[in-house]
Amino acid sequence: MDETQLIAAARAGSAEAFAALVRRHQQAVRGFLRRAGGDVAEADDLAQEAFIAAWSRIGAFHGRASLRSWLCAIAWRKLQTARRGAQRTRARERHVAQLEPSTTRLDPASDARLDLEIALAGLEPEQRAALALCLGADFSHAEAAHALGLPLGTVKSHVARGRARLAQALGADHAAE
Amino acid sequence: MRPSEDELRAALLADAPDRDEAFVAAVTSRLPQGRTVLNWSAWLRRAVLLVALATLAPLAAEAAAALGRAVDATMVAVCLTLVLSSWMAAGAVARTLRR
Repeated sequence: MDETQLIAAARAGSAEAFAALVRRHQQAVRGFLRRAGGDVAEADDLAQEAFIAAWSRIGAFHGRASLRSWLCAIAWRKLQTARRGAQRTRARERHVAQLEPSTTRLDPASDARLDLEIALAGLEPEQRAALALCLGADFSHAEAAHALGLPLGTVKSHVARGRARLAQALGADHAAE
Repeated sequence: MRPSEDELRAALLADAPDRDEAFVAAVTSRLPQGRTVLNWSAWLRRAVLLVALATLAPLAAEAAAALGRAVDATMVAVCLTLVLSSWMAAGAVARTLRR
């Protein structure tokens, strides 16, 4: 079945068709959330939440954007909501304890990955997200703009600046070796 | 030496999961069973909105007529606030039911 047929079947209530859509797009959504959020466990949890939300809203998907862009839009909103919740929690706990870095960061086996993670962490959240979509998942600027709910020009600028900063950060690391 | 575009792309893709049946199974096991449940939540919100509008609109009109035009804007604002609150409360109930 092609994607249009799967979407139609999922809209009609077929969990099997929806599972096939999850199978097709889980890599893009999880990869996007991992890069945009930086925490593997949280990214996978949010990806699950995003797919479950997509199941309940698939009737509202009219195909004006690609399905992966629509899924990433849901995932991005989930990530933003989680961040707001985390910020509120941190604000409450700030006077009690020092913040500790996440213990489930990206696989530390590779120095290059760590370099990338550190470089990504230095970017603004929207720049990270735009880069994760446009460079990491091969989204067009228009698709990324739809997914992130940002104007096209802003996405182009985020990608250009983010790419330059990432290259600079990674280049500097490489140069230091 | 700065990394090339391809190197950046490869690095960004490096740990993206490929096929993962466990993830697919985890998602599908959490899907609410039956689309009727989901449709009910949407219809519930619509019904609450309609009831709120049907109840509040005549009240607002009456109050505005009784008190004069000066309070029209206030009444409309109050009315809209109540309608929006009802909408949000219904959404929250629906989300809770869905979980």
